[in-house]
Amino acid sequence: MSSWVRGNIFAAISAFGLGSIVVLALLAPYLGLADPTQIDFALKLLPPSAEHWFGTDGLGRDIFSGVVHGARVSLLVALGVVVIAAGIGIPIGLVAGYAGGWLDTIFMRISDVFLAFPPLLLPITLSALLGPGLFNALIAVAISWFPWYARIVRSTVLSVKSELYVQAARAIGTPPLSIAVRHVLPNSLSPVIVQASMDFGFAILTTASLSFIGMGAVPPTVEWGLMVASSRSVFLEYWWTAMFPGMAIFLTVFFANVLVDSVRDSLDPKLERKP
Amino acid sequence: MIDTAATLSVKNLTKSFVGQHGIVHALRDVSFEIERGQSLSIVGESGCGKTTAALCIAGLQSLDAGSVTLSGKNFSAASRAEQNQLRSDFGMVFQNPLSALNPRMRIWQSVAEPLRVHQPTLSGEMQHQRAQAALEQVGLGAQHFRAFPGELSGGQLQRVVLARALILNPKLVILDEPTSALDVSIQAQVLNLLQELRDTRGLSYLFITHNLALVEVLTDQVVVMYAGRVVESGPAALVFAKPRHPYTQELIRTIPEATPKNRAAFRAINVGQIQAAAEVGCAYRLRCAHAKIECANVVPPLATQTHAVACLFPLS
Repeated sequence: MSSWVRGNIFAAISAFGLGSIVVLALLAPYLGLADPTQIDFALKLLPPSAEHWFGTDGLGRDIFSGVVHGARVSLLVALGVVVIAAGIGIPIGLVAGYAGGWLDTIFMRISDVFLAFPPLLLPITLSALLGPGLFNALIAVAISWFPWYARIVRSTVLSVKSELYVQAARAIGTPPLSIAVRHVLPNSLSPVIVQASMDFGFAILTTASLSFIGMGAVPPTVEWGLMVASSRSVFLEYWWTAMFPGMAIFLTVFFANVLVDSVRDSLDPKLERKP
Repeated sequence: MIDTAATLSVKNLTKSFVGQHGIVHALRDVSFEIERGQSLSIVGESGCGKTTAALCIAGLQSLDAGSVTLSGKNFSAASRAEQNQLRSDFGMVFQNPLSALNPRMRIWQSVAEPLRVHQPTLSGEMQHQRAQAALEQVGLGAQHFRAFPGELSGGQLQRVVLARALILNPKLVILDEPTSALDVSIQAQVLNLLQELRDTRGLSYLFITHNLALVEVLTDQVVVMYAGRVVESGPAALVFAKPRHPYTQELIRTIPEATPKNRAAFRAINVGQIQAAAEVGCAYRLRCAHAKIECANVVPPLATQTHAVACLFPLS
């Protein structure tokens, strides 16, 4: 572990917490847990016990197993959202910022349209258009978010392209595309990486929200937002049905955000490489 | 024909910018030539247009008028793609070596960049070898090849930039203030290196500088610029020994001496006033100790002789 973790107790706790969640998610099928989709009305709404650590829900499904299996889905979806949003946004921002002119105008006006919607409204509208399903929710969130990435990359590219080493590359005769990809892009990525890791938490939150309102995951997929949603009618009496999946969402997002906050500085190559 | 052509020929370079206070004429009718194996310095104070001249010559800035010819090939009239081809004919060294190198590329990658661009068929292995050879030639050891720019000192970085400028064996190297970001002892090292490279490879240098000591040591010709115009040009030794333009004389007097007696202090004048004065008459007349009424009416032409001066009343 590098020194920033040793120097920062919150970062260390978060790294450990998020790490445990990731490990649990990866190992979920091999832990010998109950099938999270197994319905058994004889076992419905049992409180937490040695048999069912987090209790069971209204259909008698084991909530602990659901939370662990749900982590796989949530983490994967969040990763997918961030990767796709960045994957679309980075090339657009690079072209807009480096080429400038009418390309820049077109790309930026398009992204303005996306950014003009309230944050959750656009994913909801898009998933409504695409139909329910986790993959559609993922696409909906990614499409709503890519303009942020395009914006960030564009603004960094604008400052990087006036750097002396870019001028030096032009003086060498390096073709524009090569300058953009080899010189401008690698030096424009740190803010995007920070943004992507911050969005990771929000992506979990947003897809869980979509699932909660019925726009995301559909049964029998085990997903945190869906688990909270299905407990809606009973959670006042049977608190564990909403509490544990809710805590899973809260802790994962919290750990991810704290960790990103402390990693942010160490991503700056200029701070890192100064002797 | 190419054998006799000058390494660099610059004719009637003109460039103006639209600034906050109207149009700024950065270059007006600047012409000079560098013969094969010779070196030339453009000197002058900040804002006189010398860096613009370098950028225009290197094709990093468009020209309003005039032409740049490299070894008989018209560079300024070439298309963007042709220009990129011709760029292998000269190397470029910038003022601040740290910012002239991509912080995310290893030293040898930066040095090999011109090979990658101009000799794309060369294998990665060969590029690496040639980059190493180029770095060794400027006195950098193997421990630096894989380093990142932030890990080297200013003097080492300027050597890296030089190695990059020289790797394609150009005949001309354009150096924009190559020593001003370096401290004095490192400056001396770099100057020695430049001198050695010139002698062993028959290089031509175009210096853009206000370091007059560098001019004396390393160049054959001097072009003195003021407010976008060439006010004096000629062999360095002659210009230094017998400056004929009052501005040149003042400039030479500002070279720090071991025992300063009457160090000249330029009258502070803002750029706007100089630009306005340059519209009619001699731009230097506002500061000139020898200015007469006529200086305000006529733009003094640059005489066409080896030691040329643009002054109505040149010093003798």
